[in-house]
Amino acid sequence: MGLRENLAQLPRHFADSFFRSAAFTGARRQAALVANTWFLHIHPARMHPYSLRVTFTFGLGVFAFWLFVILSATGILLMFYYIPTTDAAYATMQDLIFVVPFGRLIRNAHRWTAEGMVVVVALHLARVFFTGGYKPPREFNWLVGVGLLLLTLALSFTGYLLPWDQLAYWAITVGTSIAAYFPLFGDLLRALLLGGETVTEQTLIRFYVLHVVLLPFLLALLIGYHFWRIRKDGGLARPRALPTTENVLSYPRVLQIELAILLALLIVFLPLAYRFDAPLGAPADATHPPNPAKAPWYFVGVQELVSYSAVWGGVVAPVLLFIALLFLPYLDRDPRGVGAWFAPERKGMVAAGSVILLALVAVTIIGALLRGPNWAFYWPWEGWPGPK
Amino acid sequence: MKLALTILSIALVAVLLAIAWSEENPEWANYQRVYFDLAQRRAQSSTQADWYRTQRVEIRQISVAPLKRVDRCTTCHLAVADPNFADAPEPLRLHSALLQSHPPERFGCTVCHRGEGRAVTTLTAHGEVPGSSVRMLRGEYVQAACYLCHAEKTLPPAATSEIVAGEIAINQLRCLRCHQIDGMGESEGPDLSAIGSRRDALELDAHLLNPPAMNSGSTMPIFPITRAQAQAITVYLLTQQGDAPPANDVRYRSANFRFSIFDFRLSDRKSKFENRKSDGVLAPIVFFRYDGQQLFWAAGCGVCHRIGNEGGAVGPALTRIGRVRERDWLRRYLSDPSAVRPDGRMPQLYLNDREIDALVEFLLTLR
Repeated sequence: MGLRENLAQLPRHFADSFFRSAAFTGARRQAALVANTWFLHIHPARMHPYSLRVTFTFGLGVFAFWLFVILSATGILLMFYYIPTTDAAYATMQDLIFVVPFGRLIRNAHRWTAEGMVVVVALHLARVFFTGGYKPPREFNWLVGVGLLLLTLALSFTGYLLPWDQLAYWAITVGTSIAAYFPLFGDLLRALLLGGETVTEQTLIRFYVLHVVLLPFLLALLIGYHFWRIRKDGGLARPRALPTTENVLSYPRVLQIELAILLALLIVFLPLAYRFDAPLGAPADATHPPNPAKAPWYFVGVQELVSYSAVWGGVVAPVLLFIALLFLPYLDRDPRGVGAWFAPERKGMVAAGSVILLALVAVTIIGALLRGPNWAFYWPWEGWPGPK
Repeated sequence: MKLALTILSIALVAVLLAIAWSEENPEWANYQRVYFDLAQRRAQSSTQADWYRTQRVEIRQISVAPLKRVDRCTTCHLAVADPNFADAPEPLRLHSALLQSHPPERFGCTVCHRGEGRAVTTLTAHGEVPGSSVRMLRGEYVQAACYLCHAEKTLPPAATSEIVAGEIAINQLRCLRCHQIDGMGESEGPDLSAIGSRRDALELDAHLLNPPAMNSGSTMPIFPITRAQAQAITVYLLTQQGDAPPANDVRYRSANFRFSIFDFRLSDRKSKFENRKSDGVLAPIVFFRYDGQQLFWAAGCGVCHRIGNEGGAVGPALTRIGRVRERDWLRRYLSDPSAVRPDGRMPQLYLNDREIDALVEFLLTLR
C-alpha cells in the first residue's frame, strides 16, 4: 500500500468514508447508502410505491421544503446588504435593486418564493385534509404541520415590514390592529409586536430579529421533527387494504425526484423573478395613509371579516378555525377513507372542509381585489380612483 | 429519470446564463458607451480625448450627506458639466449655467429636480412609475423647487414667472372661495396648504383641467381654463408644502409674502385674518364696494355662468335670469345651493348677506 496507490484510490476511499456503505452490495448497499448517511437518513431506506404517486401528494411537502431552502439562501444574501434602521432600510432596498449585482433578482426571488411558500404550505394542508392524512397515528404530526403553517405566515408577515415602504408600513399597521381585536391579551400582543403604540424603528428591529433569527430557527427545527415523525408514523397515509410487501428502494429514485423538483422550482422562479419586480412603494410615511390600507394578502380575508364585525370576524371566526384545526385529528378518528382523495366515507368532513376553504378564498379575493377606498365594494371592471 | 435530470440541469444553466448576460447590459451602460465614444470625437485636444478613453463604464453617484441624498443621475446624464455637449439631446446634454451657483457636489440633483436619486432606470429615476412620491419636475415646473429654498424677492423674475402667473390665476378663479391656503379662504374644498407634498405635477394638472375625471365624486366644477393657466396654478400649488421644513437651511421665503398676493376684493374675512396676524397693531381697514355686477365677476360666478357673450359655459347662461327666477329663490339658492337643489353642481360659495343682496339685485336686472 504505497502512497501512489493511495493517491489513485483517493476518490473511491473518500466516497466510501462519506457514504459508509462499501461493505454491502446490491439492494443492501442502496439501503445502507440512505440509512448510514446523515444527509439522507431522514428518508426511509424503502418506501411504499403508493406514497410516490404524483396525483396523491403532488409533491407539495417537498415543494414547501425546497422553497424554504431557496428562501434561506436568498435571505442570507439579502442580509449582507440590508440595514434594519428606518433611515437606511428603504435606501438599501433601492441599492439592492439598482446597484448590487443580481440584487434585484435575489430580492424578487425571495419575495416570490415567499408568497409561493404560503400558497404551497396551505395547499399541502388541504391535501392532507382531503386525503384524511391526519388520522391516527398521525394526529400529532398534523399539529406540527399546523405549527409550520403558522410559522410560515409569521415569517411572511415579519418580512413584509422590512422594505419600509408605504405598502409595508400600512400592511403591518392594519395587520397588528387585527391582532388587537383579540380579547384580554390583544392589546398586549400588539404592543409586544410593535414595541410601542405605532409602527416605529422598534417594530422594524423586532420584526427583523424575528424574521432572520427566531422564526427560521423554529421553522427549521419543526421541519426536521415533521419529517422524522413521517417515518416514525409509518410513512405517508395510505389505504389499509394495500399490501406492504412491494416497497421500493428510496435510492436513487426518490432522491432523483426530489432533486428534479428543486431544479424545476429554480427554472420556474428564476425567470419569474427576473421578469417581474417585487412591489416597492414610496418610502414609509406615517402621515399619509393610503386608502384603502390593506393587510398582507393572506390576512386580508380576516380584514374583510373584520369589516362585517370586529368581534365575530376578527376574533370568533379565526379562533374557531384555529381550534378546529388543532382538535380535528383528535375528534375525527374514523379510520375509513384514509389515504384517498375525497373518500366517499368522509362525505361530511370533505363537504365541511370544502365550504370553509372556498369561504376563505372568497373573502380573500373580495378583500384583496374588490375593496376600494373606505373599504367600499368595486367590481373589477369598475376600478376605483387613486392607486390600487 | 437520469435523462430528465440532465435536461433540467441544462435548462437551469441556460436560465442562469441568460439572466447573467442580460444583467450585464443595463440601459445606463449603453448611454455611457455612446457618451465616451462621442466625447472622444468632440474632444478639443488629444489629452481630453485620452481622458475620455480611459473612463470606465460604471455607476456614478453624488453623495450629499447633509441632505441625506445619493443621486445617481449622472450615471446616464454624464455630460451635465461638459461644454462640448451644449447642443446634444438628453440624456447627454450640458446643464444650464445654474450649475455654477448650485455645484452638484454640494446639492446633488434631486434637491431641485426631484426624482428617485438612487435609481438607475429611466422611469423609476424620474419618479414616473405608479405609486412614486417623487415625480420629476420637468420644464417650467422646476420653478416650484427654487421656491422651497429661496425667498421670492431674491429670485430673478425668470425663476418666478410661473409662480406669479399661478397666484394671479388663483385670484382670478377665486379658488379660495372653496379652498384654504395657510388659514386663508374657505373650507368647502380640501385645504391646499400642503398639497405640494401629496400630489405631483401631473395629478394637479389633470385635476385642474377636469376634476371629476381625476377624482370621481369631486364636487369641484370644471373651470374653462387654459393649459398654461393650469400649469401655472400647478407650479404654485407645488410650492405649498405645509409646515414641512425646507429641504435645506437656505433662507425660506418671507412669511408676509403669501398674504400680499390676495387682492383686496376677495372678502372681508381677509382683513379679519390680517388683524389677527398683526397682533394688536392697527391693520388697514379694507373697504368693499358691494357692486353686484363687479361681484359677479370677482366672486367667480362668471367662470361657470355666462351673461351675453361673456363668461363660462359650465353652468346655465344667466343672460335672462331676471325673467326666470324671483328674488327669494335666488337668495335662498345663493346662500346654500345644495339645500335648494341637492343634485346640483353649483358649489357653496359662503357669501355673506350683503354680498348675496348685491348679487341678487344685479341678477334681477338681467332680463
